[in-house]
Amino acid sequence: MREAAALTAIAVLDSMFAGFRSSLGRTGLIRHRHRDVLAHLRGLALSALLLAPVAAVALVDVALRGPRLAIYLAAGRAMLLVYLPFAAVVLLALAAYLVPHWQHRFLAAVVVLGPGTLARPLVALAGVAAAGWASRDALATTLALGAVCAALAVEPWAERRWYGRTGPPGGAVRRILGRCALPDSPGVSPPRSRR
Amino acid sequence: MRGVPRVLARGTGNPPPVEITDLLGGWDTSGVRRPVPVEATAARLAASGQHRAARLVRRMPARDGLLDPAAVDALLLRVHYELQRFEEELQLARRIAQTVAPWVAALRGERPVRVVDVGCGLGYVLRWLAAHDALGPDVELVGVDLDRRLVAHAAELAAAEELPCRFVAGDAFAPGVAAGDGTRCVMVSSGLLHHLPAGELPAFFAAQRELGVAAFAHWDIRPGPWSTLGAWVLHAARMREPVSRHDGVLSARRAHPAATLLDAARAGAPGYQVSCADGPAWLPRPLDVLRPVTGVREPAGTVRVRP
Ligand SMILES: C[S@@+](CC[C@H](N)C(=O)[O-])C[C@H]1O[C@@H](n2cnc3c(N)ncnc32)[C@H](O)[C@@H]1O
Repeated sequence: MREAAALTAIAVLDSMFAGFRSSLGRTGLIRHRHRDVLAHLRGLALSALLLAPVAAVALVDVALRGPRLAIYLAAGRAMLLVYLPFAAVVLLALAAYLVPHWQHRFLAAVVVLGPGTLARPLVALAGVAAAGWASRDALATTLALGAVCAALAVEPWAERRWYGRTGPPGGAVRRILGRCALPDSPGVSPPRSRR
Repeated sequence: MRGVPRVLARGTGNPPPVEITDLLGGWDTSGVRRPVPVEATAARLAASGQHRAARLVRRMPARDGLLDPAAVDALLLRVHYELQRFEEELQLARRIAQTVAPWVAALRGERPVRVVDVGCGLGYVLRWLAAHDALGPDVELVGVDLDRRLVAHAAELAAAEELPCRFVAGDAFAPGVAAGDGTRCVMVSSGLLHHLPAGELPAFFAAQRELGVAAFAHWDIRPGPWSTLGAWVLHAARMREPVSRHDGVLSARRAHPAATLLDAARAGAPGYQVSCADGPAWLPRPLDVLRPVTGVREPAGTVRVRP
């Protein structure tokens, strides 16, 4: 069952990043940590919703036909063979965000994370192909494809659901953000407009 | 937007490629957005072989042969919001802070130093500098843009986070608009230079000399095959608006090389110590994908011997 746990961990991380990406370039805020966390959680919630039917079918299938567990495990192992190296590279690049030099963050974003986003659908589909090849089972392959489609749907769905509109957040969010001024920017005052 | 009507007017023969947003902007002196004719705009793009861009324009909401101004406004905003996100990844504001902070420190005195962002768009750079208090106390951060709608949004965004910076609509080089006492003013810009044809660059630098600014730093993409490839990959990965993708890649393709910028800065702003370096184009230097052309006014009486 380590396969299921590892695939779930990858799905959790992927969905959080997908939610995060869908929120970027929409609010225009400088201090957006709160919004980022919210976007991560939204991605996670959407992916749970989308992946639940896939997981349910697999669980019911295994419950009814016990020996098929081996087929799912073989499919899962094959998917992990594709996804784990990709995930490792992405996580390594994200580690650059923990170091203080902006140059590392820049290189991680430009050299790894940007191209990684572009490659993600291809890597995801390669995982389905590997699952199909390893399991040689129509249902397991279909479920793998369903899971990958669900993962790929998180970002556009989150964007449509929450981030279709551009502009600073209004109302309650603005009030909260107003109170969360950084401690290193004292004396902030409303901008004076000369227009 | 600078260059736009000129580009349209020049559109005979085989004109150089132009960004879609260059053709959409533009305000007349009374503050009304200039109408954008669909067919003329699409034809201008097609004339330089930008057929996909022409199709994008033809698909935009229009009435009576003119693009719907509300849709144009909304599109330009979406493009600039995406651009901000992109600039965040490029660490643009940090780069600018690193270059400008020593100048500001040297100018600091009894009166505040002013940092003016020419063509500030949504004011990301100044809002970032304000949010991080990156230049220290007694610094006025003033963003200027010809596009009133962007300026209004920049002000709204600054207000949403209570950031101490302000935004002005107008020509940054018009006297009295932004520079104030030029001797205590540093002018910066980002992603603006490639919108100007090479022939107009000397006038761009001359305008700053006339205002007597203490220093300037104008950031743009270092041109070359690696920048173009990087721009393509990153815009495909990060941008959702087809217009952003088109314009982003074209920006890299038409960015001016350091030699052109240096010649223009020397011609337009004699009396300034200017610098800009690209290095060999074949060498991938991802960290330097953005680089400034800088100028610092030389003290009066300095005699320079040109090599
Ligand atoms: C591509 S945008 C760059 C926006 C912003 N710097 C950014 O990086 O997001 C160039 C902007 O420069 C503005 N602009 C060009 N010439 C100007 C001038 N002389 N004064 C003020 N704004 C100018 C245009 O209106 C346009 O919005």
